[in-house]
Amino acid sequence: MSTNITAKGRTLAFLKKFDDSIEPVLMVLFYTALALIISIEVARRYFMGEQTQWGSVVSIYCFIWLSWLGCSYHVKHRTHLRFGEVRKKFPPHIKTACYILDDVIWLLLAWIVIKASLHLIETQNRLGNVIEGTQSIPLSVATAAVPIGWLLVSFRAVQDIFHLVIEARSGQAPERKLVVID
Amino acid sequence: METEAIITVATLVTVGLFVIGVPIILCMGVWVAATLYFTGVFPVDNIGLSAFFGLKYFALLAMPLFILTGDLISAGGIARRLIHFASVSLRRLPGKLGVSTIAACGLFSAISGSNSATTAAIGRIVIPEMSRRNYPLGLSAAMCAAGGTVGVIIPPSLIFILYGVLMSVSPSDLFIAGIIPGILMLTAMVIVTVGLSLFSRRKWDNAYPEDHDGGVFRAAWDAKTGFLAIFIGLGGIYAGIFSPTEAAGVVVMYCLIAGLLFTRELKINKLYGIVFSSSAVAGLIAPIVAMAIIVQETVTVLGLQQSIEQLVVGVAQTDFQTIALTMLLVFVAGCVLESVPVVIIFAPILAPIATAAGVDPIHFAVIFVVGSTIGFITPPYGLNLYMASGVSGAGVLDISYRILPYVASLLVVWIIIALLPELSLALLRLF
Repeated sequence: MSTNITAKGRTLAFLKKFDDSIEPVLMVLFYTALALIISIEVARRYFMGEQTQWGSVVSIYCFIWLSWLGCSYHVKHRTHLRFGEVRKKFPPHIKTACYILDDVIWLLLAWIVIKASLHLIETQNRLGNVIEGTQSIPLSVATAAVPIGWLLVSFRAVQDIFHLVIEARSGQAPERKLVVID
Repeated sequence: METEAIITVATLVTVGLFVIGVPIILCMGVWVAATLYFTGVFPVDNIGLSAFFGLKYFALLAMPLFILTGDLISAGGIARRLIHFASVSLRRLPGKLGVSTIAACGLFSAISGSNSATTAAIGRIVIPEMSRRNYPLGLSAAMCAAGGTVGVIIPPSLIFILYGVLMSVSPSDLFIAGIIPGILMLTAMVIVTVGLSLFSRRKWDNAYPEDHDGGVFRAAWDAKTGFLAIFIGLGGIYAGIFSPTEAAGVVVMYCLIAGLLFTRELKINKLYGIVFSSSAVAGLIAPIVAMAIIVQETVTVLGLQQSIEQLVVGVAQTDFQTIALTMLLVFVAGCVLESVPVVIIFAPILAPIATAAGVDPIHFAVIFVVGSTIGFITPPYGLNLYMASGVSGAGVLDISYRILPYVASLLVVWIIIALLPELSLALLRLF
């Protein structure tokens, strides 16, 4: 019995850790990759007189991955840039309704973006498009940043609605920072 | 429903959403989705395509790199040395720490090309020190927010790179054109700071009568890593070794190496946190850029560009009034939007109007970027106000009130820059 509880506790701890760190870890990974690629490519061109064709292209794709993962991270923490002066004066239940409205709009936009980007990926795969400068890496690896990023956005929006409902039931006001720039 | 009615209703709904605190990116998304769906000018799916193609500009990579540069300069002790140099050099002026803060923002701007990065990096270091020296917290934050505006005027500049790419103007020329206006902005802010210090009832800088060790040359030598960063970044661009975007990447690597090996204040175990905090800021702004691009495309397809052009030309009787009106539009847009979307949405609309009114494209670029960056510290949505509030803990309203003398002085400088094209073009003719 206690073994089961420990195993369940470990699984929950792992899921919590995964939930907290999925976007941050991937963002750091893509950020580091784009900075390294650009500077190494400049150094190679200056010192060795050569440069890869894929360098600048891949760094752009890293940026696209970083952007949509970052978008999802800020949905999770309700920290997207907003004019929050009026909302913060609302009573708690109106504030909760406003945050739920944000999440509903995220879900509607996600539906449009995911549908369109999956169609784009399908077309790229059908045409056999590859990342410029590489022989075999499908372009859809880069384009996948959009549907995967927005899928995470949708997940975070649904998760947020649950949190808001739980907070409202326990009488807590949905307090959030206006911006996260730190 | 008529197209005009659809656009009006969509705009009113968007303004309503903005007022109740819906994120900016969602406000833009709702406007585009509603307008495209109900007018049918092109498929709503284009929003999804813009999420990929809208970010596929190499120039945009300068944005995350400049943000990272800011954090590395700060964590590596380079910013602190530059502030010390500014503080020693200007120690005889009244309000010396305030004046040094403005000057340090200028030095920092010559390494990083972002106004919010400048405010955050300088603010983190000087605001606690300013509080110890009897500066009101809101005023310290206001000084950092105002000083940060030169982040995109003194070269290198993310906004000049973006403007250059969008409007087919050389970013390197824009960098040169920004030098004198940037220095003028700094001078105006120094004058305001000295004036505030002289008329303040609180005695600033009194808590620590004189604590600068060594002279100006010693401080300059200590700040050599910062000067080298400026030299590598700008020198590399003008020697033709790398592009402005690549310069941002090179300076990131230099600041990393300098922080680890030269100043030895940057710790390997802190790197993850630094890179993450920079990536979080990039993740905040980049999605807005993607959405701004589809907004701009929608505006173009709907012919709103021509409508705004006709409106400006119809209202303004002379070229002078035309320029004044375009400046007003830039300023208002800068008050409610982040600088990058302001450039993406409004530069393609306003630059042709200004050029038709006889303004040099490079001169207008400077007018445009200076105007949008002043909007960056103007309520209700001056991002630097929120940035300074986050860094200092002072209230946004307190900062908004205390920043007004700086906004006024920058507006005067802006008008002077607009009236005297030579301020932007003289250095270009020399080089």
